[in-house]
Amino acid sequence: MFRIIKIFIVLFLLQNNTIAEDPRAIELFKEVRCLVCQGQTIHESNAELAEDIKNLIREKISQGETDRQIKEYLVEKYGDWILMTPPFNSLTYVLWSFPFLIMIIGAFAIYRQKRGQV
Amino acid sequence: MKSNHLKFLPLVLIILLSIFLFFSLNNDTSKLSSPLVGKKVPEFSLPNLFGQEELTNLDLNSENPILLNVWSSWCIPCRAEHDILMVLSELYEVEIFGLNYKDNNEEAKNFINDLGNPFVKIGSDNSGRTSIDLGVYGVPETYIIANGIIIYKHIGPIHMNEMEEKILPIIRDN
Amino acid sequence: MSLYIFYISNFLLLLCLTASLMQSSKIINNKIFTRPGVIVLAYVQLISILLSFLILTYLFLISDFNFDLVYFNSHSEKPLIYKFSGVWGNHEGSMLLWILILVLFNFLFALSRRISEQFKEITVAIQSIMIFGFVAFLFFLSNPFALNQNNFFDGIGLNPILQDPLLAIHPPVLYVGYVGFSLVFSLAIAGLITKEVDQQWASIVKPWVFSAWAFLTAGIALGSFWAYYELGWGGYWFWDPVENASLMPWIAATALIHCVLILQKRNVMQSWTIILAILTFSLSLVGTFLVRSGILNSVHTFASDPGRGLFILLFIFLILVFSFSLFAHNFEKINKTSSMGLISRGTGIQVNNWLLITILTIVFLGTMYPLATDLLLNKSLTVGPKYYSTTIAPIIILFLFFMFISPRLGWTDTKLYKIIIQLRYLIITSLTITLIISLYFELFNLTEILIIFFSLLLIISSVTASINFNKQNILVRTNLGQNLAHAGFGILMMAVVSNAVYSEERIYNAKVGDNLQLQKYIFSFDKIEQVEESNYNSLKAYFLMKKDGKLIDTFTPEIRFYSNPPTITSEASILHKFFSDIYLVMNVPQDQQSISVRMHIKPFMTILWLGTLMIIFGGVISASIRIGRFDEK
Repeated sequence: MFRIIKIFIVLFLLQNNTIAEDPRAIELFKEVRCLVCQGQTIHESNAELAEDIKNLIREKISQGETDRQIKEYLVEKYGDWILMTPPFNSLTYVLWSFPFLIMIIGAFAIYRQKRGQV
Repeated sequence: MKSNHLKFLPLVLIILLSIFLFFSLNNDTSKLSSPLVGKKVPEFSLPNLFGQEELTNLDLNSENPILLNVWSSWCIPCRAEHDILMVLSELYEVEIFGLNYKDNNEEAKNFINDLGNPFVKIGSDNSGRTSIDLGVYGVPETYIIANGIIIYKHIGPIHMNEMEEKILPIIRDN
Repeated sequence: MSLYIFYISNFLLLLCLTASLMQSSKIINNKIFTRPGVIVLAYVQLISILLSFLILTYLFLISDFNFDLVYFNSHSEKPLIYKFSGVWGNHEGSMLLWILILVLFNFLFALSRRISEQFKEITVAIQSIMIFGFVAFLFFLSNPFALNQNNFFDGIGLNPILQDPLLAIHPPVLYVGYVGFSLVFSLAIAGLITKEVDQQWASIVKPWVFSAWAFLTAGIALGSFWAYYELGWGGYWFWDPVENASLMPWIAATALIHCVLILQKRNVMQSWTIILAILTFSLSLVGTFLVRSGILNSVHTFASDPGRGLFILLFIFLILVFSFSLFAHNFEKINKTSSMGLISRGTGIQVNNWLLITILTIVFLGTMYPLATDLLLNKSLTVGPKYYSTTIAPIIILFLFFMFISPRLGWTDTKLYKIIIQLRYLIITSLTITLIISLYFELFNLTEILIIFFSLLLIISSVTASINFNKQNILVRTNLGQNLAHAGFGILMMAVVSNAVYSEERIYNAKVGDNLQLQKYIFSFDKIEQVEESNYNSLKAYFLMKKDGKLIDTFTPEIRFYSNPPTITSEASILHKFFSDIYLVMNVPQDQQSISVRMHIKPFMTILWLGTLMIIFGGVISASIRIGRFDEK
């Protein structure tokens, strides 16, 4: 609802009919990887496939799909790697939890060492 | 004391990492697996390039394995691959369906008229939208489908050796 | 003529190989060759490589396409400065540059005085073993002087994205950083061999560590700065594998400098110092390997050749196995147990070192994980910027806190509450400013608020600590390097967070005559021109930026069409104001009627670069503090 109001305000403030890209769409574009580029998002890329997927996302937004639904669709077709941020699933448990573990180990080790000195 | 064993830790880590990197060097990272392998072909319907009956997912339901080849007239590797497709369809009698990707219909027809038609039917996906539904991200790509389920996806043109080593065995086994 | 040059340059390379072999032999106590001495050989090593490098530069400048390298990477129409930087804008040339710096550090160290002859010989010998290895690699597998078999009229040219003054100096500066740690590595190994890793060793190492670190910081900053200007995406850091490859040694190096400081002051943490010295250099090498081998897909890869990758991997493997074995072997003989109190400066540094290692692990994991899932599970994964920012941000909060408090603590056990009371004004001021910022700018995210609070503490604390008046009321320089670098880091963190939160972007499809809005500014699309330059043609658009009807500035984003090699680039038009940058980029037009324009407001960029500069200068100042002194005040 607020999104629609914001769009109307933006359109109202402009003196002509230049249309700005929907900020929500931009946010989504930044989270989707360009499949035929080197590490860019579809937001940054000029590739044709990137443009096609952007159009697809715009279409789905106007059909009322949520961000989550859109991402699920893309992952279904292209796999986890189309998302810029790795999801938290069985494939990525290690990735997300390892840093935390390292910190705990360090805290523990330093504490033990200081304890040992006293 | 613990430190006696810990001092070997860096050495061990290095050895493990080197092994990993060594294998990574020889690993071709450009071919990606498709998440659609093992799943049913998504529903779709495309107009026929030659104006006949539409191409839909129902066409791909045969018990015998069939191929769905994604191609374009502007795609150079597709040209090279075309001969292999002709061999597959005429010599090995494999049913191949074509998906014409983001192409100009006239030029696509010319391509077929010039180089031959290995396809049972050709669907035109001028917008590329259906191809996204199929998880396509470039041309050429080929799906092997049996019983309406995608059992293999080949990315890039099919070379002669790949036809013999990968495509034909899969077709025979199913 | 070219044939003579071919023979001379290759001879020079072989000369360096021979001299390095002789230097390496000095590691054996029997001294197979007492003559020529270390210094003479160091001269030979330096001059042979310097001449080779100058010859290569000459070949590029005169555009001698008889040489493969010049043919593939240059063009006669290129502007002179880019012919010059084309020398290292490729694999072979940049390797030669790397070796030049390796040999230069070798030479400078060989000239140091007040170091025992034996220690010097061992260090130089280690360095020379590496020089030998790299020159051999260059000579046999990546020879820059390979002759062209065919006759070509003109070269292929240099990628226009690389034709930029910033990018021209980015590799040399970065390499001084990377390669500087080769000397630190050699010093570490020499320390292990002589079994003397003590306060004196730390004093010797210190200026080298700080200089290399300062250059590494500068090199990374330059790359980041260039990305901001050239790539047109409004960003300055993308967690791209090659960026990560330069960041990892930097993180290890930062931990290293703090260990060296503790080692010098308290004669403890020997093993950490050695491990970090080895690690920093190894990461520099691994960074080289990742960039050149093609296993990573990145904007940077310039030599996709697994053969070369294999060699470098082998080389790194041998170096690491050797050094860590030596470490395991001599571990007990160099280590002294730590005797620092629980709440002390030493512990604070230890904690932060561990946090740095955690961040290093994160960066390493993020970079390597996709390779692992691909190799082991045949599944592809992308680790994008959000992974890094989500995991690192909370760590930065802790990091900033310890950075703030540690210099205020003594080396032996200190009462924490006393320090807090002493610093109460500082804390209250920071708290107040943070609250003001939070309310005024509507910032309610806890992580961001905490980063800003602790950054403020750090900045104010470092500034007040460096302004110190002695009894005669004269300004005394106390730990200026440290305080400058720490304050710079605080400023950097604040700028990074603020920039991330408050950046705004708009995308429009615009035709001539349209007015585009971004916050309180209106941009009128005035006209579009065709421009012809010496090596490109461009479409230049003119946007007039107005506020309240008044014209403030004109933006001229361009799309450039280069012919050698044929490339299209988009050039951003940027306006720098102190508190923010405004950034306008055109995208390649999809149709004839309108062009896609992106407008960014990027707050605090100038402040961000300022913070980075402060860090670099802090490092430079610390490097220049005289060696041989245990106490800096």
